[in-house]
Amino acid sequence: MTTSEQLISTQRELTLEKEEKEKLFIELGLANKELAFQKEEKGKRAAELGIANIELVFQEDEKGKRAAELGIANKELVFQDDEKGKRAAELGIANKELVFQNEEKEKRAEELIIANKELVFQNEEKEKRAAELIIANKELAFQNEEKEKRVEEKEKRAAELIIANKELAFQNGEKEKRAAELIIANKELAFQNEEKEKRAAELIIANKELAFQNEEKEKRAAELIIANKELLAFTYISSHDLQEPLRKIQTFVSIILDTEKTNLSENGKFNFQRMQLAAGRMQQLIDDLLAFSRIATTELKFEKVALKTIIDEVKTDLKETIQEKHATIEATELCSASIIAFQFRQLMYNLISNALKFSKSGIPSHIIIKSRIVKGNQSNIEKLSADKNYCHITVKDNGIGFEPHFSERIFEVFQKLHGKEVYGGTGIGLAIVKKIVENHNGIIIATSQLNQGATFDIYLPDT
Amino acid sequence: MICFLIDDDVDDRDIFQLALTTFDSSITLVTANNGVEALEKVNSTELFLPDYIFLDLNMPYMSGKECLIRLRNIERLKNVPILIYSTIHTDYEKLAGSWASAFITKPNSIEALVKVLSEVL
Repeated sequence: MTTSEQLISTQRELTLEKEEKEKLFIELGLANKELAFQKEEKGKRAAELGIANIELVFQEDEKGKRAAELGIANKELVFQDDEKGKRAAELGIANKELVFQNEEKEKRAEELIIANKELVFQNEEKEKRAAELIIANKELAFQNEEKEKRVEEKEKRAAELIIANKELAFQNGEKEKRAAELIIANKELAFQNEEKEKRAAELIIANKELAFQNEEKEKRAAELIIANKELLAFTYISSHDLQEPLRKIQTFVSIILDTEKTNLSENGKFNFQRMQLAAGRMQQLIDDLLAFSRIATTELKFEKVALKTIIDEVKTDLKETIQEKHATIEATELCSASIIAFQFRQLMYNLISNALKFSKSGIPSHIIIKSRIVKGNQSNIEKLSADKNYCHITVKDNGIGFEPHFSERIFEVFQKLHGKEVYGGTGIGLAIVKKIVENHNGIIIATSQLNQGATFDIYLPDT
Repeated sequence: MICFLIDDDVDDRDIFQLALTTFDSSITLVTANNGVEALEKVNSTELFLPDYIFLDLNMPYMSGKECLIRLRNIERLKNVPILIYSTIHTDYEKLAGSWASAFITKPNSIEALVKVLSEVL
């Protein structure tokens, strides 16, 4: 039960008590009035008794007078007795009668005296009771006063309590309001807390997941780095060590062909020549593998270079092949790019020599090389950052092209789409190209349709 | 004319001998199997004074690079051209420029070697 409720019940009790007291007070008033009325009645009756008494005393006196007169008359009669014998007897009877009546009257007087005494006694009793009633009345009045005082006190206190109660009720109200507000705020906070805890828990899980994935990735990355280094070291060492015996095979074959020319049959010479060709092919493979591994391991030094310069150098290197294929290389619209020069030279060399190699027989090779700076979002390529600048280099030829589904595979090491009888090469050239583009943080895309030429688009970040 | 070839590979020594003879049969070839043996030969007699020294780089016991520096520090050989004769041709290019006189990549045919020798000798 709250404080306010207790106060309210106390109030009610006080009110009830007051009512009870008021009732009692009214009853006391009524009893008082009754007593006063009875008192008055008794007074009246006492007055009446007094009058009756006086009457009786007066009658007594009269009786005494009449008795004296009767004595005189008696003496008269006794005197007259003689004379009036008859009358004496009658008088005697009348006398007896009177005596009787007297006796009766005396009896009645006695009875009246007794009744008077009784009345006096009753009066006295009544007076006593009246006195008692007065006392009881006073007592009641006193008690009433006391009660009134107490009621007043209680009323004061009740009033004070009411005020205090109201104050408390007001404060309570305020507190309840604030409590309600706090409860709402609390609920809100609890809800927010829960939400936060939920999100925190989710984040913790996500975090753990990420941490785990990160660890795994780091592990795998570390493993890959080690594996890559091992692989490159292996490639380099094995390529180098493979060169030694190969070179000897080639040299000894050349010695035989040189010095034993006259002793060899035509068939023998032909087989040695085939041996030389095979060894030459192996030499080329090893050279390309070495180049590939060297591109992956060498230090990357970027410099701003005019692409025209690079292409001119490559054109010079490939002069003989260009003439042989009656090729035209159109390289006019070219910008500068931030590149690793020696690697990029290799890249252009590989792309252009590829274009020359895969030209259509009987049709002069026509290669168009262009480059310009573009924004990432102009390219329609998702991998590029929309607002970054890129150097977009295009190498387009009119050669045999390739089927579109090979556009990824052609960049893989040893991927060759043609038999070596038709087109020579080791299948490393485009892998080297891709590796170089990756070293430049760029991307390369090959697009073609069979017999409709090929286009290589390179995007290098422009810094 | 005396040429001094320091190479651990017997095949390469034979090929070199053949090419040298093909080029000019009057040239004498002295060979050493490695750097240690080469220095022993050079230090054994003051009279040994080759006209050309051909030095392989990848050899056991002593690297061609160390052998090159040691040979260069011998007063008697101060004016003798030392030609690097090896398959490796990347990291040693600088070395060749400052210490060696020339750099010859071991060729794939006898004709090529003969041609190279005719150019340097």
